[in-house]
Amino acid sequence: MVVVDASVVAALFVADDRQEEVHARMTRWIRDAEPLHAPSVLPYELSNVLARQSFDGLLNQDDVTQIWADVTQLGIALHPFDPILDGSAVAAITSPLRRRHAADSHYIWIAQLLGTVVWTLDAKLARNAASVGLPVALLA
Amino acid sequence: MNKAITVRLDAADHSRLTRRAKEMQVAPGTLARLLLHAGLDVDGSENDHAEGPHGEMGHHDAPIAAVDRERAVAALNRLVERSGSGPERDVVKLIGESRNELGQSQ
Repeated sequence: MVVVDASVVAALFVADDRQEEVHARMTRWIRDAEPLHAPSVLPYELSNVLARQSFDGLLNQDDVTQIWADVTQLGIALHPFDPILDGSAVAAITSPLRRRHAADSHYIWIAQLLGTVVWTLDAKLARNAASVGLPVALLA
Repeated sequence: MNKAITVRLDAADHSRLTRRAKEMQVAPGTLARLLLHAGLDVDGSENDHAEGPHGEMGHHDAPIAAVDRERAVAALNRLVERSGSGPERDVVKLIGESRNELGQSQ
């Protein structure tokens, strides 16, 4: 099983130059029946990217509807956030990462719970996480 | 606050749970909680748990059925194909900007 962060999923519908590698890796995971996981913040992050793409005139409403329909077909298991059980753990991850937001920490916490790693396109996140022993891998 | 209960399993069930947990790379207790949540969520009325996946984008930890895998691969291909007409953008930067804008609007 793997945890995929928002950059990996968004790269499927944004013309990022790493898209080909993401497409190939995601195809392999799905064909191998590798369970895909993410925290429940993922749809909100994707929603922001879609809003930005729409604002910039790159997507219309029909495009957005089709993208959501396809993203839901990927079978990504979403994990809800429980403030009591997860709140302090996420904060404990955020601090050593030296991030001003906790979004990345949600992905890392789910990976720690599941005993796997987060796959990301964010090289800085992967570098910072590696330096403090957190399970993040750079996909491309 | 978490509450603990003890569940007695016969040797065969314990062995199956341990084997499956090992395959999924989670602790047997974590898998037991996932399975309990999945059972409680069957009628859709009990979904206030912290652990265990649920939601519109997800299935569960069981292997994805072959037909679903083909559907997922087709969806992947459509997503990539649809993005082909847009200009190249850095997705990490896009996500970072949206997070920053969210913070500034609060």
